[in-house]
Amino acid sequence: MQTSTSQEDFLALVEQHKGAIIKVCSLYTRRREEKDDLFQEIVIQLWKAWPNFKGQSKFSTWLYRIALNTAISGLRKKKTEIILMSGEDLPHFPDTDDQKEREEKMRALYDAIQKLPEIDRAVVLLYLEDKNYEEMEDILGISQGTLRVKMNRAKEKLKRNIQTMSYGN
Amino acid sequence: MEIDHLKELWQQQEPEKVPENLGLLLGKKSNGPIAKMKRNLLVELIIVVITYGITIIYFFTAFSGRLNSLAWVYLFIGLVFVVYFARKNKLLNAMECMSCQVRSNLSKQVTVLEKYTRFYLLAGTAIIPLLALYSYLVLIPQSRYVNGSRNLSQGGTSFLLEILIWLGATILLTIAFYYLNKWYVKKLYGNHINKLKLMLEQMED
Repeated sequence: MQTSTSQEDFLALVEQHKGAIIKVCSLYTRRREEKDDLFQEIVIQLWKAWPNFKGQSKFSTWLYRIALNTAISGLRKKKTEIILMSGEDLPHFPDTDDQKEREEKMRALYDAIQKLPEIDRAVVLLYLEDKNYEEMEDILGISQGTLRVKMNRAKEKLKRNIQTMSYGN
Repeated sequence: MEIDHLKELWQQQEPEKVPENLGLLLGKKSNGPIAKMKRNLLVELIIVVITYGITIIYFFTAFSGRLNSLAWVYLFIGLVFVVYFARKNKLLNAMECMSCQVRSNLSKQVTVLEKYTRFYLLAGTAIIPLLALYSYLVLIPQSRYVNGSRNLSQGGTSFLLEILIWLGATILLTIAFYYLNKWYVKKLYGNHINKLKLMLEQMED
């Protein structure tokens, strides 16, 4: 049985890192309902694993491992189909003059990442989240040498996907 | 669009709204495939305990206790099922390590899931010859005993022919069940295992 203090600590940490969980959900699902289901599943898995978190690694590293494990192998997808982001699912930015343009760029980025294979998506996510190769290795279990190669390839694929989508529009 | 510029934009995003109060999620059940498999296993166990429990009590008390040997046989089979469920549960517990590195978790899932499906296939196929043997040695003699006939061979069928018919039918049924189980296991887990293997290959590529 976990104590209420432990629960409060856990909730505070998850609240602080919820943005990371939402980003994982956005990259591995498209429908709002699926996104909510995955978010819920990740929080449940984090809570189940919480008693064994002893702080040997950073909380964010531990969180990314669980979130990616849940997204990649934990949930079976019902259907593989590409659905472009709808307005309500667009990433939000603070009100500025170029807000619309930024949101459009982000929409293109999300759509382009979703066309990558699952593992490349994880590599790109960690790059965008500014994780260094050591942290990426710790999360994914891929050697830094292989990660560098994968990263270059994933960025190339991503560029191609973005270009294809721009020309397509 | 330059990737580095997109990276900057990525980090400036404002987090989306969270579905509901986080605390409320903690009491919810997991909907992951392994949690679902564990729940199904528990349902199977409950069904076996109830049906076998009723059958065992029936054979201990019906026919003035003349069939209590059958009750012991059912009790033994029930215990075999408990071992079967315990083995499946152990495999399910070993199947995932969510806080492990992604690659090690994937590799563990593939290895244990393959073990699980082999066990499923073996147990599902082995049950046919065991049931045939059990019917031939216990169920039929007992029912004939209850009906007042002690002869195994009836209607002029020779003992050897009877054995051969049973053996032939058992072999045919076992083969049929093997392929049926193989198809079913592949339908249940085949795609998932292939997907996991593909992702492992992607990691090693």
